[in-house]
Amino acid sequence: MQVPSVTDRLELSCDVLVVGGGTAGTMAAISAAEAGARVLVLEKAHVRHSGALAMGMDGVNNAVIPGSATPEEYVAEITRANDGIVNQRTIYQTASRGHDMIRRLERYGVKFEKDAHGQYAVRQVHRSGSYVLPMPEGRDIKKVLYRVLRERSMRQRVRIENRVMPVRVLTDAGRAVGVAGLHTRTGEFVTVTAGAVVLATGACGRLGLPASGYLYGTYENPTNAGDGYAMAYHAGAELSGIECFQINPLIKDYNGPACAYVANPFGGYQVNNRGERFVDCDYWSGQMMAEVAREIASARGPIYLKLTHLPEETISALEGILHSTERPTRGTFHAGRGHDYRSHDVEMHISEIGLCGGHSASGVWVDEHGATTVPGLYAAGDLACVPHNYMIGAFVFGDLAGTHAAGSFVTPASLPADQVAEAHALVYRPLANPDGLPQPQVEYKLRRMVNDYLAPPKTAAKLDIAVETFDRMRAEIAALGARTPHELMRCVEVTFIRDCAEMAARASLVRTESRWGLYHDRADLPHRNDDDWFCHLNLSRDAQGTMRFRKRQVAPYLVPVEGFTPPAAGVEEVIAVQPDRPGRSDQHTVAHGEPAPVPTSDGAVLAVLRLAEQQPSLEVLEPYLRDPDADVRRTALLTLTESAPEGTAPALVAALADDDPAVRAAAVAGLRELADILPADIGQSLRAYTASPDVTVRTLVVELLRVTGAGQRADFTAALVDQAAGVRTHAVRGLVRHRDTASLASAVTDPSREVRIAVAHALGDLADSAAIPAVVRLAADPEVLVRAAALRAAATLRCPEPLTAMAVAGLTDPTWQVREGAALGLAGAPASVAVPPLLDAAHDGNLDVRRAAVRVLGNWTARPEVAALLRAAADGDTDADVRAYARRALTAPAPGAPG
Amino acid sequence: MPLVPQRLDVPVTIDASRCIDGCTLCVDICPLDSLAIDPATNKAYMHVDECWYCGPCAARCPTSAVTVNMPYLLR
Repeated sequence: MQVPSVTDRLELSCDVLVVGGGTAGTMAAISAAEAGARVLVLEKAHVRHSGALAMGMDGVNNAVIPGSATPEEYVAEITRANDGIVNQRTIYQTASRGHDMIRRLERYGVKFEKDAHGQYAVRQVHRSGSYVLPMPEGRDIKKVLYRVLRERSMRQRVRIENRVMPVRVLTDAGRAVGVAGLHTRTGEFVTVTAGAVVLATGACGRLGLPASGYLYGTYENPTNAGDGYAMAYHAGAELSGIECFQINPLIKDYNGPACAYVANPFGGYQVNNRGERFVDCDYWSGQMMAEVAREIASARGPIYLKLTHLPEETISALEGILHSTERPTRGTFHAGRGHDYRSHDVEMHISEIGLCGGHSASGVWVDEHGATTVPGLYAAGDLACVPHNYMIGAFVFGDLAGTHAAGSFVTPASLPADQVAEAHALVYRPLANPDGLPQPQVEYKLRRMVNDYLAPPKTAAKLDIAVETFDRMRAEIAALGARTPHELMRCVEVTFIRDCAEMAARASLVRTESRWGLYHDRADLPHRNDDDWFCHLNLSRDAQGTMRFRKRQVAPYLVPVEGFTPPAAGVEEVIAVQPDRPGRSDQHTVAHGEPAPVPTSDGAVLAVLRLAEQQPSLEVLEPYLRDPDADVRRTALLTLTESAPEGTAPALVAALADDDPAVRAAAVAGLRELADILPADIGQSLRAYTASPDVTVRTLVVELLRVTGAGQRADFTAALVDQAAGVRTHAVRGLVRHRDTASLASAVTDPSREVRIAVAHALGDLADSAAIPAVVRLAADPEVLVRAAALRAAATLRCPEPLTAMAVAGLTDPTWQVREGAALGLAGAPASVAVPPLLDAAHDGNLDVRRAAVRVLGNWTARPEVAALLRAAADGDTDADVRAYARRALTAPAPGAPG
Repeated sequence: MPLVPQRLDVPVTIDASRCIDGCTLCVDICPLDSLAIDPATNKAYMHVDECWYCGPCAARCPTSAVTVNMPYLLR
């Protein structure tokens, strides 16, 4: 291709420009449009599959749901996890607005897990705080957001440009006025004049090199190269906590999340090579990562996610989730090595380093509206420094930034020509040098140096080498060569990575203490120094191109947190001045390229696929839904689900009668996905399929009747005698809502073990004393897991005789599952009966049984023998969970009921 | 400066017998923009070894022509 001249460019304008169409970006665009602004979204990939949620998300880490947690508890938790260095006002936004955001997402059609009573099924995953809300059907959250963006009312206000990558934010008199960048397929130069700019470009995921050595095998989506960090920096905005890196435990080599969040409620856990749980830290933090890194390096390494002890049905259910959501190729990876969750615990490791506000604290400094220190410039999502903000925080701050930007944008008169020319030079320089250094080699070397000199443990000597190396590599980056628009994109990304690496190295040098566990582990300064460093460390680029650091006072807390007190007197100190050389701005022209013509042909499948982009009405899709070819009908159903126009639900329901199983499966999947936005009268039409010969259809019908609330008691009692166990299991859950103890009790002789387990859980949920004979029967079931579930259910029934005796006897059962269930069930029994056998159970050889015993004994800490046992367990147990629960029981002011 | 072409094993493979002439769905949605249409055959192929093994290309292909393997270095 040829270098376009600076003036030969695509010029766009808008009120609010959103850079990045991921989690925060889509929400910013929707909110800004709803507030009346003309919005433009620039996305370097395609909005439908971009950002951290490219392939979905299996749960929310930070849902503050009334009844499960308070905003104050959440703010305190995040403050502790960040060693006190937080602006609580920003965190409070996520804490107080998250619940409304979840309900808003639900209105859009995103599904969150509900319990049998229809309440959000919030789970406690870490030992403190209940903030995890699973999204078992969340595999395609971007589909929902993309659909909202393309609704008629939105399309009039929101323009989306895919495959456009901004490289610089343009400023005029210190205010953001637009961006300059390139189209990554055509190579066209693009400028945007905007009244406000929201940066939502995600983490710097391509900073460290993964242990595999594969450039794109990163924890974060590798499209996220730190674009926003570099753009905010060059625009003069302050960045904060850049020395507080992101590091996460992962499946080794696969480098995707091991999903302890998912596996934990199923009974999976992380262990060392001795089978012991080892993480003492109660919450997700750099401290926890330090414990993980230490364990891996010790004689007890490596570490594993232990699943092999779980029963077949649990493992199948886990595979169903882990291999289909968030990172679906997990299954491919394990299969390729001949590994299986039934026979192999999953080896884990820690990730390469990155910058990410969403997981740690490294980001662009923002106030409680997402505004940066540059007027007209906002940051949201993983890019922003709102510590541990995760997905809900990205949505909340996308909403805040979009709304604020729409209310305060200032339409600029023109763009600064000198900055446009500099951006042009930055993009097209490698084209002048088609035989220059290839980007993969330069990027590999840069990121290998990041691993060698920047990854913790850090020392001043290593960081000095890092700074020198990243400075030296400016020349190598200037010598990059490119021949195609795609290569130009990658070359600019290498400059983003280098900028991030330099910021990370210099910030790590300036903060002369250790803090945040592994994230800023200075081996040469191993202690935390609150006297000098209880403050934010912010950096920015001044008008002369110099990197400046300043200490920012930690604002007075909204929520007091024991052990942390921000210093009263603010010392806003400028600390260090570092040279920063501006890039070369010379340009050249080069030889031609060859864009491939896109061939066209028809065929009904192709026609339907093309319709998908145009938000087709049902009428338009009708002929394809009736096409004689099953592939066409199936594709039409996928398109219908994707765009969900008026009349979608009846059309999907009608397809449940299709002759072709793949078409029926597509209809089932569509209805399941749209469950939360189905019309209220859907129940009547679904009932026509309760006798479908297809078990997947019958399962769906009873599931939808349950989750939409449309199901009557009679629907579920009828389904309780279905020949398929899956249908009966859903019927059991449906009957909980109707509090139908008698029907549930009739199912204790069900031939399926899974159904009987579900019945035991349901009877425990209902806590109806009429259920006692049924629970007694289940507690004598021939199947181990049924007995375990029944004994556990005894807790809510106050564990009457003969359940007390059965539970006491169960504590010496040969199987650990029964012993664990028995220990938990005894929580309902009187202390005089429960305590003596539980004191023995607290010495059980199985760590889950000991954990259950210790948690239940926590109800009776006033008894001296219990307190003595807990003290011994807190100090001496080999299992970290047992130690932690014992410790918590001893320090808790009022003991709560164990779960 | 001298440059050499190298052989690379790429993770995404496309069954040309299933790939529909004129369809660009996988090319349109790949976050890393690693897929392209070969002008000689009108079929999709992976033009660079850049892959997050995220999978929408395979999951959304209307004819199941796309397979995502793990990149060799991770296998």
